[in-house]
This record gives sequence, C-alpha cells and structure tokens, in this order.
Amino acid sequence: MGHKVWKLLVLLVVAVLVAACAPATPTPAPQATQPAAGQVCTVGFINHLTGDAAAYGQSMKKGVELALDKINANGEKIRVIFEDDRLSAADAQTAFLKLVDSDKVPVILGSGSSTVTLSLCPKAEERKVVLISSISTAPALKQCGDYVFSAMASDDAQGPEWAKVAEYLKADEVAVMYLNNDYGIGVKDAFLASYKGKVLIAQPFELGAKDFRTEILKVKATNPKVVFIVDHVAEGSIVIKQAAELGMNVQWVTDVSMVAKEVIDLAGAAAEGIMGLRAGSTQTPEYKEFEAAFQKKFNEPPTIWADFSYDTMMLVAMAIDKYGCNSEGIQKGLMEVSQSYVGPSGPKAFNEYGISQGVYEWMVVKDGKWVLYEKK
Amino acid sequence: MDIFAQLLVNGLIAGGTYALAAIGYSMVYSILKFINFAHGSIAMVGAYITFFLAIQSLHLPLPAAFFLSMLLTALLGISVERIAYRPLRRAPKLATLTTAIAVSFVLDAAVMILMGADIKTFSLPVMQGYSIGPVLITPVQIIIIGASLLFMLLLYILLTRTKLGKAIRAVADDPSLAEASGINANVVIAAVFGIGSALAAAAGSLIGLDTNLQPTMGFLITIKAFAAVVLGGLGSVYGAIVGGFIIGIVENLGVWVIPPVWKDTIAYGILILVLFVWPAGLFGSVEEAGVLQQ
Amino acid sequence: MSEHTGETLLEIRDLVAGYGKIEVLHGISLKVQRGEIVTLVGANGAGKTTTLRSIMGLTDIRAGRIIFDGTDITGWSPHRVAARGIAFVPQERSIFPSLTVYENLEMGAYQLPPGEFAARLEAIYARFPRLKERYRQRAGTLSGGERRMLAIARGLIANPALMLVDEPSLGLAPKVVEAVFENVQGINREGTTILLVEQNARRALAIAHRAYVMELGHIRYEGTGRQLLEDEQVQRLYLGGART
Repeated sequence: MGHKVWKLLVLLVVAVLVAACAPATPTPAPQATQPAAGQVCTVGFINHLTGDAAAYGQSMKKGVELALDKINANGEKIRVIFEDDRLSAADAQTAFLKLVDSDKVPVILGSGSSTVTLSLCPKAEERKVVLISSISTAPALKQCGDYVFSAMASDDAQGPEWAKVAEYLKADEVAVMYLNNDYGIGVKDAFLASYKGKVLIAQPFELGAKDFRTEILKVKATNPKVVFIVDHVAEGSIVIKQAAELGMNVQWVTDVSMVAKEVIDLAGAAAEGIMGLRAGSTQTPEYKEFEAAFQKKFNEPPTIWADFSYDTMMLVAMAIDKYGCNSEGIQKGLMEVSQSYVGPSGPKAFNEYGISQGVYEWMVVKDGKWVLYEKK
Repeated sequence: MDIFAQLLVNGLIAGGTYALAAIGYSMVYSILKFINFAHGSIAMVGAYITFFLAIQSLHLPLPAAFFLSMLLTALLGISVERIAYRPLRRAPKLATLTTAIAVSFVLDAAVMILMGADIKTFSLPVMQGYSIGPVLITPVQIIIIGASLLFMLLLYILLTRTKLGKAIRAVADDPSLAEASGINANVVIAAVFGIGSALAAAAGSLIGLDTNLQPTMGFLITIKAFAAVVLGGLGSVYGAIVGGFIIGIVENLGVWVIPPVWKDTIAYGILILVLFVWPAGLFGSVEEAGVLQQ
Repeated sequence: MSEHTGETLLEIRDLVAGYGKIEVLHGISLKVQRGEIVTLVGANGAGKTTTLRSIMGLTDIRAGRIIFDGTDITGWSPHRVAARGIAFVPQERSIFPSLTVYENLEMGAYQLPPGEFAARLEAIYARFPRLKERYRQRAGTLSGGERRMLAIARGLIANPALMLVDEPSLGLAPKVVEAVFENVQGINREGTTILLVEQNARRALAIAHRAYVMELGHIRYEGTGRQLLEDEQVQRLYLGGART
C-alpha cells in the first residue's frame, strides 16, 4: 500500500509543479477570426523571455509595452500575445504555430537572435504571416522573402563600421573573437571583408559555455592590442572577465549585442574602457522623448534594444491602421509607412529586402556606464 | 611551455569542480546502483542558496553563506531521497531514472521562478591573477583548487576512519549483509545523499564564483559529473575524482588544438571511448560495468 | 553435546514467505531450543535458505509468526533483528569484499557498545588466529576457507544468542570442512544456539541435537539428529549418493 500511494503522490506533486512552472503568458480567448478594422487586432510576439538570452527578450518586451501605452491611449486597438522561444528554434516553431493556428494573428514580432528568426522565415512565407524582427541582422535574412522584415540594419553594415573603428584606432593588426552562430559568423565575415589590416586570429567560441580560458590564451598568444568581439552578454562578460584574470590588457571593441548594462554588471571593473557599437542614435529628439517615457514607466534608463522593439510595434500599428488587421495589408503597409518613419531607433525605411538601413554610434564604458565615445 | 602550464592549471580549476560534483554522483551510484540525474540541479540550487544568503538577502560573509548552503542543500538532498526515490526502491530502474529527471525539472523551474532567469554573479572584484611562476591564478581559483582537494581529503578520512564511512562502504558492497550486521541501511543512504548533495552545493557555488549563475547550469554539471564517474569507473569514488580532473585537463588542453565547438564533445567522446575499450572505467570493476549494460 | 534447558528460543509458526510474487515457504513450523544445534536439510530449492532469510527479515512474509526469545519479530527490518541478538552467516556474499578483515569485524560489531568491542575482538582472534594474522587484508582477496571463517567470525563477534548459518561447507575442501564443523560445535558449546542449513546432510545431522527435513517449501520430517541419520527414508532420499 505504502509504495503505490507514495508513487502517486510524487507524480501528482511533480505534475502540479511542472504545470505551475510553465511560463505564464497572457492568453486571451482564441478568436475564430480577426475582427475588421476599427476593432482590436491581436498580434503575436516571439522572443527569448527566459534562458540564456533572457536579458534581450525581456528588454524588447518592455519596448513593445511602452509602445502599446501610446497606441491604446484612446481605447484598445492592439493586443499582443507574448510567447517565449527560450533561444531555441524548435520552441520558436511551436510558438509560431500556436499563434497562427490558435490565435490567428496576421503578424508576429520576433525573434531576437538571427538564428531563431531565420528558422521562422520559411514558415512565415509559407503561411503568409508577416514576421518582423526588431534586431535580427544576419545577411541571410535578405533571402527570406516578402513577408519577413527587420528593423535593424544588416550585419553587412556592422562589419564595415567595425573597420572604421579599427582605422580610427590606427590598428593595423587585430584579433577577432566571435560567437559561433549565424550572427557571430555574419559579423565576423562582414568585418573581415572590409578590414584592410592584418587579422592575427579569428577565434570562435560557443554559446552557453562558461569557461573560455583556453580560447583566451590562444588569442593572447598572438599579442594583440585591439580585440573585436561579437557576443551575447552572458558569454561575452565572462570572456572579458577571464581575460582580465589571465592578464590580457587590450582594447576591446564589441558588437551591438554587448552594449548593455548587463555586461558591466557581470564583468565588473574589467569592463571599464571597452568600446562598442550602438545601432541607432541616442542624441535625437525622438530618442530623448522615448528615454523619458521609458524612465517614467519602468524606473530605469532604456534597456538594450527596447527602442527598436518600440519602433517595430509602432510600425505594425501604423500599418494596421492604414490597411486593416490582415497579413497582406500589413505587409503592404509596413513598406509604405516605414519610408517616412523616424523613431527612437532612427529612420526605419525598409529597403527592397524589408530591412532597415541604419546608423551606428560609438560607445565606451566610462565610470561603470555606457556613454557616447568622444571622438577626437 | 608556459602556456602549457597555464592550460594545466586551468584544467585543474575546471577539473576540481567536476570532481567535487562527481563524488556525490558516484557515492549515490555505489550505494543504490542508480544514476541520480537530478544531481546537477542540486548543485545549481546550492549555488543559488549561497548567492541568496551572501548577496541577495542576509548579506552573510561569503564563507558563512558557502557552508550554510552546503548544509541546507544536504537537507534538500535527503528530502529528495526520502520523497522521490525511496518509495521506488523496488521498482524497475527506469522508474527511478525518470523520477530523477522529473526532480531536476522541478528544481530548475523552481529556481527560475524564485530567482529569475537572468544571469547573476557574485560581483567579486575582477583582477589579474597572481603570478606563480609562468602561471596566472586568481585568489578565487586558488580557493577552488584548494577546496576541492580539502573536501576530497575529508572524504577519504570519512570513508576509512569513521564508523559511518565504513558503514557506507559496507552498504555499497552488500546492502542486505549490511542490514543483517545491524546497520540501518536507510540511515546510511540518507547520509550518502546528504554528503553528496553538500559537495554538489560546494561545486555549484565554486562554479558560480568562478563564472556566473544561471538556472540552466545544472544540466552541464550533471553531464560532466556523469562522464567523470564513468571514466573513473562506476563504484569507485576515487576514480570519479580522477575522472573529473582528467576531463577538466583534457578539455582545456584539447581546445588549444580543436575548435571549441567540440569542447563538450571531448567529455562525451571520452565517455564513449571508455565504454567501448574499458567498460569498467579506470578503477571500476567488471561487475559494475555489467550493471551499466542493463 | 551441551545442555539445553528445553526453553524455546526461536519458534516459527505456519510461515508463508517468499520473494515478491513468488511463494517459497508454504506454511512451515519449527522450534529451536536454547543451547541446541538444529539442522535443516533438504534438496536444492526446498526453502532452507529462505527460512533463514525470513527470520532475518530479508524476505516478504505473507502469513505466520516468528517469535524470538518471547518477542514477535515477524517482518522486522534486518538491522532490528540483528540488534535483538540474531546473527546471519549467508551462504554466498557473506563478507564485505572491499573492507579489510578488521573492518568486516567492526561491521559485525556495529551495534555493540564501543567498550565491548576490544574484548570481543580478542575472543574472535583467539578462536580464529588466521584472521588475526590477516587483519589488514582486503576480505575479497581471502581464500574460500578464510572467507567462511571471517563470515562466521563476523556473525559471532556481536555475541548473538542465535546464529543462523547457511551452508558453511559449500565449496570447501574436506579438511577445511572439518575445521568449520568443529568451529560450529565449539561456538555452540560456548553458549550460542545454532540453526544450521546444510546440503552435506550426513555431517550436519551428526552434530545436530535436532533436525528438520524440508522439501518444496514444507517440513517433511522432524526428529533428533541421530533419528534422522538412521531413518531409512531419509537415508535413501537425502543421504544415499550424497557427499560425505
């Protein structure tokens, strides 16, 4: 008797806990069809809300929420269903199918990481659902098709910008460390194509790893003065920290993913003085207005890429306003409204591939904060 | 040559944590012939408890938080055994393995809910390591290696000089005979879970101190510990320790010549190689190997 | 033969027991008086070992009672039974192979108050000088005969009132078997009651005060050692062609 009852009890407790632990996403009653223009339009959102890249997903969620405040200020026009992809293409697929089949959304905002967004492209094209990413930048996105958009300039642009930094720093030989995924490889290749000097070593490292000491030693052995690193905050901050412990004193230049406060939190004093690229501009009136609103709502300065997701949400809202809550309309509308749209993350005009152009700012960590780099 | 020395030291740092994690794994296996897949999650919980006590709430000094976490995690391990595993003692092995996986899910999710999914660190001052010969090593890293060795020494003393330690070895040899000799096997098993979980907490905390904390860190610890135990030989705790150090060193040396995408593959590769060539592992026995095949 | 007071030390009543779903004992009853050597003989599979293991709490008991020294110990967990004063010397896997001889004895004396261990150890070493010689040797490396000796010593060191000995002569050379049976008798003379299971029926019946013959989970015959030794049926079934 005792054994069976215990077994059942354990299974019951486990089942309840697992169910309770499933990330709670607000799910309105599924609608059979989307209402006509003038009523509430439900859209989807897929991003890394938990897991290694949660910092990015949560931040982009905030940008969307801030935009919704403005959009729904005079009555609810748009409702967003937030889904978590845990930085996994497989989970993203599941979320996509749920949003499209169950919730019948005409447009999905997502994802963050290029790898995940790329995995959703074929489905978006096949099901004719608009997919708009706030920040995916892999050059491969160009091949995705008419229904896929990105609000951030492709890495084709980030690479050359890095080359400009190298030139400015008068570095005729550099080392490169890159995250071994679509994004990292994309930036690295774009950089190598533009940079005219000598590349001492291009060292890959893995997403999710914790111990990079050997990779760091390999780079250190080439005696670089400047190291370009493209990475997520989780791994990148460990690299910078471990490199400092191993006595590596170089000028770090990061990609856009690392210009986030988490890097400073996690790498501590080792982060002081590192440079990085920031997509968009913090000096425009649009940005300053956004910054104030963000600070007011969330009690902190804007987190990384919230401005991009804010703009993405605004663009989608404007497209729905013009052409209604359907995929063809939104697809047409996005192209049109973006041409003249300038938001906190800059001008968003989509080119023929559905990708925005962009500008970059140079940032540096000073006194424990990312600030604009003063060019001399 | 300098680089080699540094790589070796780095290997000892990583290996020390693997070895500590592997001890509890190996002891539980020896006693119950059961692979506790929840072990890595328990290490992760230990790391988070240390973080909670030292940084998030009570602001205890780090050593106090560290040891208190070991104690609390020991209690957690004992509870898990009592609630999830003991009722299944006579069930087929598959039932216990599945339960262990379920326990790891529950622990991972619980920590994620309570502590958040974002990355946490102990925010120790980042500094260049001390120079010891050609090698750079930070104080925390010295502590990691030192703590690993110390705990291993204490384990040896426990197993060879104390009554409980000998009882543990007796139960590992033959639970029925131990019971018939007057040893309460359930108490010994609880003690093993307690000790193993405490050491797992130590390993998790040290890893957290060296890198950072994420609710997903448990899985990697489980895999590395498992590889260490199999490499060292099922049934041999000292083998598991040696296995842990070997994996740490081979990983660090290996990545020098092989692309890092293969780094975890090194651990798995060693596992596969060992199972083919020496199913018994370095110090294991052939009977134990037979159990693995079932 | 030592004096027995006629007081019942162990009584088994209508015991039905086995392993999980498999029932091996279909209702057996027997008695062991204090100071006796009682032998269980029978063919393989008769349930002799299961009887001993049931007393020790190592089997699943469906029905019946086991009463030891006035206390009902049916279904007690083994370490409680051991604490109560019963020692078990199993037929195989009877020692802890990875522990030393000394550590094996320590485990045998697990429940003994610490002060008494030294004295008991002396007594054991006196009876088994070979064990004293090899006290630091890993038990797994001992010869068959030495292991058997250690197993008996491990049981004896806790000064049990009753010792259950399962097939002590199994796999041993004839000369060693001699020594084993001498030891069993010696231990009995010093006051320990013995319940002995043996395939070597002739020998076992010769040293027994009383004996039972088991067959397929039942008790078939009961009598004094001499009676059964001389019984024609028993001779034909169990002693003819059997090992000496």
